[in-house]
Amino acid sequence: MAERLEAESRTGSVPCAPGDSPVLETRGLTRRFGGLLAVHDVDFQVSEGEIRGVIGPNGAGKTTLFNLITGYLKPSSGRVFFRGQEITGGSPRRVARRGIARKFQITQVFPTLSVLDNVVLAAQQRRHRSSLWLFAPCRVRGVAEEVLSDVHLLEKSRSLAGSLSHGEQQRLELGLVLATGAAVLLLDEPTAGMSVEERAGMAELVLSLAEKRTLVVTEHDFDFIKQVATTITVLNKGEKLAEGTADKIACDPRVRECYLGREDARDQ
Amino acid sequence: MIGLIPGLRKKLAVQGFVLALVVGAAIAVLPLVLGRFHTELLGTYLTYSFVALGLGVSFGYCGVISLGQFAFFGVGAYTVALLVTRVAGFGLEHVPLLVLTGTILAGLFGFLVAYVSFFLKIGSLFVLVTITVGILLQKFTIAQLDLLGGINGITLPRWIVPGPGGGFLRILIGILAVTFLVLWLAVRAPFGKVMAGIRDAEGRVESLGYNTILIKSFTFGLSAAAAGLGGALYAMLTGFVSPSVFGFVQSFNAVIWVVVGGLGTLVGPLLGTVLVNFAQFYLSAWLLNYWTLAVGLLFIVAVLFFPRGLVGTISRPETNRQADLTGRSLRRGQEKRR
Repeated sequence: MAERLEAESRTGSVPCAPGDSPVLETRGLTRRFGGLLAVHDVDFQVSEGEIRGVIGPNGAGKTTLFNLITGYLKPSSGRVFFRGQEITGGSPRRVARRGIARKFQITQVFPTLSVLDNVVLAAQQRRHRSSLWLFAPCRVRGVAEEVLSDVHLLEKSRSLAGSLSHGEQQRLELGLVLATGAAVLLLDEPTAGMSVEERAGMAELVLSLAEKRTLVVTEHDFDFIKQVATTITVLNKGEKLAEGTADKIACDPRVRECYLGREDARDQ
Repeated sequence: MIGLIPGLRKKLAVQGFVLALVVGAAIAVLPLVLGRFHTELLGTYLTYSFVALGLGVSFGYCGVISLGQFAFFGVGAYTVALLVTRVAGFGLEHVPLLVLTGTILAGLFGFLVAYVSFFLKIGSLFVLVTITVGILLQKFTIAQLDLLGGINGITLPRWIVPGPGGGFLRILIGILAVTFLVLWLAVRAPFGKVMAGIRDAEGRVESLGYNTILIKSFTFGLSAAAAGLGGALYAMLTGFVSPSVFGFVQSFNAVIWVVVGGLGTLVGPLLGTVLVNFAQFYLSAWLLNYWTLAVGLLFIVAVLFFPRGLVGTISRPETNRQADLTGRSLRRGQEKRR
């Protein structure tokens, strides 16, 4: 709770200065799959309240990086820190409980539950220390409805989640991570499969959420990232290629060569 | 469509409970209309329905399938039988304690089996574990002639077996109602939502911070306890237990009862058990050797044409329950298990 208040008092992004302790940090993070270096010696710091974009071509290691941070993969070497405390190799469950929530690229909502129940499921975890003390009714409904209105799904709260359109399911997924109350949200390709109008809406949504939280967003769509992120990290072949503002990245010839050139061609 | 008429959803949500009351009342009234022989049969089938209820929660709500629920039925039955015959000093006043012990032991055993399996990340092979447990218990009991009565079984003393007449049956129905209520409350509670979430997408639930291993194991333990309760009551009702109570064929049948009755509901398993067992009884008299074929066909027809089971087809499911639960849970259970 105190950490939330602290995050709220900072507005906008704070560039990482020496002495500033980042809310999320990786040091020398590496993951090998046999001979392949999926992520290689990545040093990555995100400040509190920032919206960080992570881009790179397919296979650059973006999702692997997320997997390493959230405990789905154990690093071959390197360390991960959250608010200065080491979380390297923790299980996904433990990482989630610390306060890092992840929105997955492939939507995984609960299709046989109602939209409201989906969010309630995500929210009620906050209320209960242990997973088993879930027999007492908990008053998270208000929180859930607030979250649903934030992601513009309140009208659909009674519908089955399985009946939502793809774009709506993406928003519901976003709602799920919001409802966890996590301070740091990792959004894995939030606009995947969305139409152009939906993307614009998503950009607005992401910006509105960032006021109280720290976001790390991976994306293929550079235009989207340009709109939402203040700082962008570029990954290529598992290594950190460049980092900086959108303009700086766009001008960087190395980035152009490996990524933007291909992206422009694909966008037409 | 449900949203068209305000208040209709609320009415339909109540409908499930009303259906439960109707079924319960019907079962309570049956002993008055059936003859004595059929009443005894009903009693036996009602003890089976405890197993089905548990399976209904574990499989229908949480997505954890078990083809060995009768293993826990047997644990409950044998606990009561052993305590009463091997340990001196028990009297009628101890019966609730005995039954409770059987229930708790079965539940603990189920919880342990599940926890160890899920902890070791057995995933979808858990169903094999459930089959094995039943077989192992059966073999073990047969082998232990002195300790557990072996293949001869154990006969319970006269005083514990209730006499003819509806008295015990009414108690049985009462206990069944209480069990039903407890499970119903569990399913309604936040815990129930997590169970359903696990059924749909276990990985997602875990990424939200839940200990899905613990929750699945607890649910399974609950279903095992229900089965054990049925077994304990069965031991008293029939006055005799033998290794066949661990019967894994019956465990297969339990799945049929649940699916035909209505997977994903609580009333369904109850209804399914009573109906299928009575149907089986009459079919075996009529079709002689081919009755197993008929039951198998019934199962196939049910899955193909009435995937929501009897209850699901009769009553409109609530919005946040199931639309296509059987197919969903079976498919998702296979996809999402790690």
